[in-house]
Amino acid sequence: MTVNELLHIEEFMKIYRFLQEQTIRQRTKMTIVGIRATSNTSYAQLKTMILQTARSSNLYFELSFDTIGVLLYDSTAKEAQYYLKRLKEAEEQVTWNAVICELRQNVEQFSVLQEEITAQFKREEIPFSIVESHRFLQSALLKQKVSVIEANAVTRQMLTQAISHIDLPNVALEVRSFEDGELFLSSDWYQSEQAHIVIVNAKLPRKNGIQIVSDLREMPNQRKFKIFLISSLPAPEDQIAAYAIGVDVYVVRPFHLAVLIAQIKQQIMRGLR
Amino acid sequence: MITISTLSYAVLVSFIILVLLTIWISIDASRYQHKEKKKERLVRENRQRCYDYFIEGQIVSKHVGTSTLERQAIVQILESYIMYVKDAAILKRIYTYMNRYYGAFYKKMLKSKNSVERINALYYILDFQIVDALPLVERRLRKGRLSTKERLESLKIIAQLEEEKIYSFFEQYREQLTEKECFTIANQLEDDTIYDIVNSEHEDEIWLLAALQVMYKRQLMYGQVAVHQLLEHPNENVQQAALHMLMITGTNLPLQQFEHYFYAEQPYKRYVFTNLMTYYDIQDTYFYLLTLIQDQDFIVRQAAVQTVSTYANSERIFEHMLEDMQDTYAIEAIEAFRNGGIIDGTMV
Repeated sequence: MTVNELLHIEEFMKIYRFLQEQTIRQRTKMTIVGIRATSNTSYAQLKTMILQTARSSNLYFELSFDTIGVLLYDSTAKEAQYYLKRLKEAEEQVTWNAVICELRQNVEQFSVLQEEITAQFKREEIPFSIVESHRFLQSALLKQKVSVIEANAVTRQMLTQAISHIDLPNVALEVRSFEDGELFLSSDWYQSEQAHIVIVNAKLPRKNGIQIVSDLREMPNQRKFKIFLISSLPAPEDQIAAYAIGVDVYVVRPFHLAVLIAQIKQQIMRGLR
Repeated sequence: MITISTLSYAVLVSFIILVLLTIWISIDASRYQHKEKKKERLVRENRQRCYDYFIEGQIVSKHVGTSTLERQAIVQILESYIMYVKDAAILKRIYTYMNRYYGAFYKKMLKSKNSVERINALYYILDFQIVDALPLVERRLRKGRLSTKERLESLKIIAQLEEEKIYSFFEQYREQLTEKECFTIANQLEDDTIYDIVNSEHEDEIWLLAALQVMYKRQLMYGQVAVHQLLEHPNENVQQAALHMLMITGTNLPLQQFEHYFYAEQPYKRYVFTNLMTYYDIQDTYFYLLTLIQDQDFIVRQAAVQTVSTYANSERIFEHMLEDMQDTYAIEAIEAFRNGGIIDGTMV
């Protein structure tokens, strides 16, 4: 697909709002690049060059009267740097300056973003100079639910406490424990949209771990769950059966507590990226 | 001659005894419940302190129980920890603590006249690695006159805590131990010791067999050379265990060397042969597998389907096989497998 024209700012705004929502919901990121022609290049020349090298995965729009905007979805500032490198190599006679602005948070007022990009352009014109703005890099606080479902009170307390001690920047952990699967599933704790790590013992009274995993995986928003199943059965066939019903991490007990905590941390970090 | 009054008297006495017995049982039950509740409360009260000291390693909060019940509560907490956690630092803290503060208690318990107490003491000595109790455990083993359970637990303790001495004790008792008990004892040994026993082709066949079984259970992969040699072992059981091991370690011997298992009457030999097929190319195994998938024994048939499924082009192999045979059971087994279902009543 070829891109023939830049989007008008009004048209772009409609798409931008949608993408903003997706960025927050999926905890992904997008980057906006503002490109301005230097004095020996005209706006029209810059526009032609950008449209000729355009890719259908990006959005090209009029950021302001003299600046062209490029939105790179699910991309970081680093990927924007590569994009600008390709642009420079495409036609070196067309010179420009650029400002890269990676967004990891909700910037509702697009005018704030426009002002930030405009303000970052340097007064003196050095061809192909690139400035990175870090103003919108801070992600929104990740609210992460963790549930420990374990019948043994001592182990339940040990796991709950060890997990509560996880300290990650920009993450608010909410840890709760349940004596059995029935109590967990009869609570409304697991029904929200939030990312949710469930650590469940395979052997539980009333409703066992495998049944809980099946029930959670049947939910429409089941992707939010990362499920750790603790079992005393190390045999490959037991592990394969557990993975087949939707377990994410199979933990054979006795386990290294430090490793389990590292695995939980890793799952949370994935949600942050 | 028994008169009616004597009879009524006897009934009355029996009735009174029965009532007293019921009262005693209910008092005892309520005492037990009360004790358990108190212990549960003590577990709750000590949980945090134990977590801080044993899990987090905070030295300030080390705590030794002041009453028997509190000590039992702490032991219950530590039992839960060792059941779930294997971090070296945590285990070291638990073992050091238990040796220092409970070692004398378990040694005394092991000298008890009550056999249940002695067995419990042995369980604790093994679980908490009470090294201080080792001389006593050894002395009791040397003297003999132990119950089957005490003997087994004592040998497990030696295997766990004093590996270099285990074989001499094992020798002393080997005639009285079942195959399962030998395995249980060997299962306490470190991986390296298991390798040593297998690699040196230990002269004691029972000990060698136990080590091979442990090797299989733990899926220890680095014993291939010794395992191949053991296929020629004069003891049929050792041969069989070595053959089982090959299913895990794999083999680089030519397939023809195992062909006699394909023709063997015993299903387990055909089963092992079927599993060995996974280590060879389909060009070499196709006709064997085509026969084995139609074997009279369902375990062999099932293993053959599983083996085919391990090949990258399994779908095409199954198609080919379906064209080459008429066996209804085999066709059903393949179809069930391809639909992610059941083979001969076993979940795939």
